[in-house]
Amino acid sequence: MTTKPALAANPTIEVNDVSKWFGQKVAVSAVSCSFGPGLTGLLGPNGAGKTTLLRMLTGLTLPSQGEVLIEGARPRSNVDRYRDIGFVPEESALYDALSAREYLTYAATLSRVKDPRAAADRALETVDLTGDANRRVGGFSKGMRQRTKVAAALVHDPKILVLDEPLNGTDPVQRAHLIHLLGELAANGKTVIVSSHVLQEVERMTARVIAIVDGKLAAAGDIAAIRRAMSHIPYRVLVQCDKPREFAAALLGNTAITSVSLEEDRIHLETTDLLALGRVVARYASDLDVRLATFAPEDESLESVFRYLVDGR
Amino acid sequence: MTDDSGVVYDLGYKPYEGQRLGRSGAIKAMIKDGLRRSFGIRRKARKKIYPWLLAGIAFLPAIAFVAFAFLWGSFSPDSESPFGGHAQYISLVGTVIILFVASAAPNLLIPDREDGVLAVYSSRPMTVWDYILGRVGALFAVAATFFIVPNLVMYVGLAALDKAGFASALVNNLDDLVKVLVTMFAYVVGYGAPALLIATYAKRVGPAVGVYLATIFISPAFAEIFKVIDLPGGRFGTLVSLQQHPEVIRNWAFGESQGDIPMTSVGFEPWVSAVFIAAVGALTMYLMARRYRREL
Repeated sequence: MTTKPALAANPTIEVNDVSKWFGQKVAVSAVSCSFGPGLTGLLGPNGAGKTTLLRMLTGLTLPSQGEVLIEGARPRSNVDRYRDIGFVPEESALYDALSAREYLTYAATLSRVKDPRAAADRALETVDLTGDANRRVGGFSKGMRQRTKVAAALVHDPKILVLDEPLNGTDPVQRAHLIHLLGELAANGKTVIVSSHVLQEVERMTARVIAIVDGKLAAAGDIAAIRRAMSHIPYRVLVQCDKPREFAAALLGNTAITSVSLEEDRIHLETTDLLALGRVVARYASDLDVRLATFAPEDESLESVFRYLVDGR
Repeated sequence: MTDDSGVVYDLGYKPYEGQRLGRSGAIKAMIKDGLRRSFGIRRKARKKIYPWLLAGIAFLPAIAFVAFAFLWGSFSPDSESPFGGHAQYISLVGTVIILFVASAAPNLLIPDREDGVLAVYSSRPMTVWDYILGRVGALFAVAATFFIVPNLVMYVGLAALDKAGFASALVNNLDDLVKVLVTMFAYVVGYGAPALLIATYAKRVGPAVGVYLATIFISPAFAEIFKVIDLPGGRFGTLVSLQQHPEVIRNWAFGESQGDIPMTSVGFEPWVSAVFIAAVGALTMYLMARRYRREL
């Protein structure tokens, strides 16, 4: 078991001190991490270098420095390795004139699957597009196009699946379906890497994230653990009780609490020591005979963690 | 903070273990896709008009030629006819090939690059050369079909009408078929390679078509200028006439006069045109590979 959150146990993809620059612009700077079976969310604001990193993971872009290894070998060193890789690019990557079935059959043939038609039908079923198999991709909604791209990445049953913003343009039902599907693939032992800027969805998919900010590895690991690692940023805790005004007044001035604010019946506390705060709140509640309804961290969500990483606040 | 709060379990992934096809299957699929795209199949009607019109221009005269010979009765391939023989027919088909590759080459290459479809290929077990062979193969297959099928119709049709009998006519005129094949390579490569080269670097289909047609149709005029002006080494300038190199090979193969084609007028032998066409073809493949190594 590894002790570094950026490194996965049983890695299938290893990123070793990888940098990529385009002229003067540094897109990715000295990133080291790895990905193993299961689902990993790749996060970062626009222009952070997510797409460049994903393209390097799949060998579509070569690093300027460092190396990416897929099961110990560089992906471009042997194209047969692409039998084990499925990639959903952010861009269109579809032939509008073809039907979904024709397109997937074509993709399966390019991946040298023996029975491309059967593989296409399986992939269509997986993404729930069987009913639209004979419709032209050009007439599909954005969500259906995304599902077609996911099906194309799955058509040869790869071991590694890399998806760049796969949930873009999907409606809530399609999104839920895709999230479920990706979770299932990860549970079946595939290495699934998903980049997304829709944080709640990443949170629904996985607890393991790798965050890239300005081309650098900003954080990695379990979302709650990342938040705990940000000890310099006070925790925000929501408290709800039957005597909010009286309770908030009592908490004022306690050394374990750096800030108290009252908003109707909601007390917002800030602290740098979550355990000490818990003890203080319990003691005061007991002393003042206050009935606590809620005591919950407000900023352990991925969105808060992400905001701290990007903005430092 | 470096604690590891997650555990990843190895669930024993079983990859696809069925039979895999070789590279040729993928290349064939690309050629098939290219043919479909070149003829506008499964595309809007307006996308079909141009290629099918050209196919009609290439094929119908050959069929009419044979029908005409049939109605004429005592016709033989050596007889005078309103269509001439294979050499004259190739002249017509040559123009059709120029017009066809002008549109087909950019339509095969540019949308893949500009619409971000190259990832479909680069994330599959394919090399850069597989992609290039798939696209070049499609273009050359259609251009060769435009060239060879009408000539075959004439060859077989006229043999069927020959007074010497079908089988003996086929054998007696076999040299015509060899000449057609030799000329076909010159036309397909000579006209196809520049179209591919331009499409490799162009960003949009329309300008690529325009630049190619201008290059092909204006280059003889430049060659004429190099022919008449007295510059040291100026005769080599006549080789810029991309349109006329295949014609030189055709005239040579069928024993026709070279007329006043600039490069032969200044003393270049037909083999120079053959080398020129081969060099343009090789350069095109090299530059395509270089370009697509960056893209794929």
